[in-house]
Amino acid sequence: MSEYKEQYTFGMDFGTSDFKFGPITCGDAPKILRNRGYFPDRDSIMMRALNQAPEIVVGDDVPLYLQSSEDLSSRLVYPMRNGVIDRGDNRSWRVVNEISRFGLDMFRPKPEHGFEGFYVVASLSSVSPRYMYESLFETMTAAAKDGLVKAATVISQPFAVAIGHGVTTCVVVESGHGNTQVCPISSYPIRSALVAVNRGGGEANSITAEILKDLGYGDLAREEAFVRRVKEDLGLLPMNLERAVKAAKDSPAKFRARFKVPGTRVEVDFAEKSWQRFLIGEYVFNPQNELFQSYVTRGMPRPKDVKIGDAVFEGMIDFGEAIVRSVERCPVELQPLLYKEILLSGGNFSWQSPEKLRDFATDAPTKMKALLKEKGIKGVSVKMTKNPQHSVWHGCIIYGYAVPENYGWNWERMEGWLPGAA
Amino acid sequence: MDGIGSAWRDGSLAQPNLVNIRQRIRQRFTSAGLVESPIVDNGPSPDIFFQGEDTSVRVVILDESGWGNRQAFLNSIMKATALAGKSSRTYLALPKSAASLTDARLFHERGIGLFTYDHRNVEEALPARYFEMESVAVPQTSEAVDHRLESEIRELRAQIDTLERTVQSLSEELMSLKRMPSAPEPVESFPSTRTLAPITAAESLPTFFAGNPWLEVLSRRGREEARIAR
Repeated sequence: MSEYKEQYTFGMDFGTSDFKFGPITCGDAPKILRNRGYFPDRDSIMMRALNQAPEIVVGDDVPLYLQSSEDLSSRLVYPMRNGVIDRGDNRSWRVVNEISRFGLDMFRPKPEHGFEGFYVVASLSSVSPRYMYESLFETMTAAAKDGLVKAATVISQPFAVAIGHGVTTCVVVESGHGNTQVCPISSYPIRSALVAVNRGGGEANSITAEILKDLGYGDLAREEAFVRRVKEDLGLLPMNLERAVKAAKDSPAKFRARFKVPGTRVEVDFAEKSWQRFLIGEYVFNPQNELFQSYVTRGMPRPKDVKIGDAVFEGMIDFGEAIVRSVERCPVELQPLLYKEILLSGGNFSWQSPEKLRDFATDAPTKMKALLKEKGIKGVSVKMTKNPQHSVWHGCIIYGYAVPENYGWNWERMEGWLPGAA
Repeated sequence: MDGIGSAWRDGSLAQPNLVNIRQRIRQRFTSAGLVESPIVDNGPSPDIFFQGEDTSVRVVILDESGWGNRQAFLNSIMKATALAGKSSRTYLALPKSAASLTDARLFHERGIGLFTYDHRNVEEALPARYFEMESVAVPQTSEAVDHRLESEIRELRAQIDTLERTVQSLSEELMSLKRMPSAPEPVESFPSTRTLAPITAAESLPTFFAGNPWLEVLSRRGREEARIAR
């Protein structure tokens, strides 16, 4: 490994909510920014008076430019919200370009230090179509012209997770806000076995919002940040939904949950409807239960099968079935090895299991094992990644450091270095 | 910014660290499938011993602090010489600054390999000769064993004499260099096309690198395909 890369390997993880980035010299934790950009209203009187509004703002300065909350949905852009950016979505691509340059500039070394540009490893969703790679390479080529990039590459997030976790044969299940990707790895990502599910943290938010409406908190249910807090604080993942719901209906006091927003008078009390806490977790893992039908009937959108880029995302498939389908696309000889190492990654797998409810509420690995057992798959090992927040960035850094400089980019294998100035 | 970047922009080069050197040597051989084995023949020692299926490697490490100490230096060289042929490969690890003053031919003749190290890297400057080790003990008469041992001891004594003379002359050379008014810049072992300024590099790689099998897997990228193509 070269001395140069010991200093100038740079990782970029384009997550749905956060952009994690930084050189190898950051140590174990990267710099983290919200993966978003704000397009200020440059025609507003204040902006004209100040005469300083940039076309786009990224990083920690975004809150300084926020204008009315009505404008947020149109001016505040989260480019990776669904893991995939449309080819013609120019504003999202502007944000990706700007935030990448922002990250590289933040760590630009002094010129006299022999710096010839970073070896940049960016990580995208495994279902990203080719044009996303091409657009990101264009961004890197532009940065190379300014001396910031020596060579660049793009790897998929599940592959980066496997590298960061240190397992060479495994199945990575990466669940973000908009979707979930199941990707087997055996020294290389097995792309032909990739299964994408059109369900993620966003669906848990949707059902939480419906539950809040039923409880009489319709006004609050419109605020996404509030709904997310309720989901994280009160949502539970049942080991067995029917059993958990019955127990909660029989003794509601034991399962009662309240959530008070700090610094406000707002409090949410599930009271005798506390059994609905279990619906939140179950909906993410398995939305097929008939208990969800009443919400769908009243207008909650059901996760649909969609085609994004080149990939079909199935909406209603449960996570156990998604893993089985993915593994069964691999050689039979490899399948037992893959089941022995299933890695769960992403904030969507962080479910609390309170001590007093342990018989009914469980964590993501245990739930996943139960779903696989229903399909006749036993003796599996399911783990959370060691460091869910940073594992993709760790994988990028290790990849950038270890892969030889002369290993050129190849569109068939989707790996290798693209010289920055190409 | 939280200061993450500033640490490696300024500052000075770190000193080689014995633990770090051992770790790098360990990484090199364990990634080649060897397993580190404890050394039972002497007390506290910086040396490392590795064993594989049909091979064994011994690395005698001369700590940077021992470089100025004639006794320690002599001891390391003599130990390496005595051990040559006892393992499949025997190496001596020297500070890079010392390597430029060392005549590698002497080690080459005896089959001893050389590693050079600095604060960043451990590099194989001279490969060790491979000595075939007997995996199956052949029954021998005690007379034959005695005879073989005697001749080995004679050979070793001769080697030690030669080395003592070499070390003596090296030591004198070193002393004369130290007496010079201004010490010359350390000589680089390998020509460099680019000068890296004295940036503070990461003291060591981040902790998540430790024991990660992907380092070996990914470092073979490209080579595997070339081999398949051939």
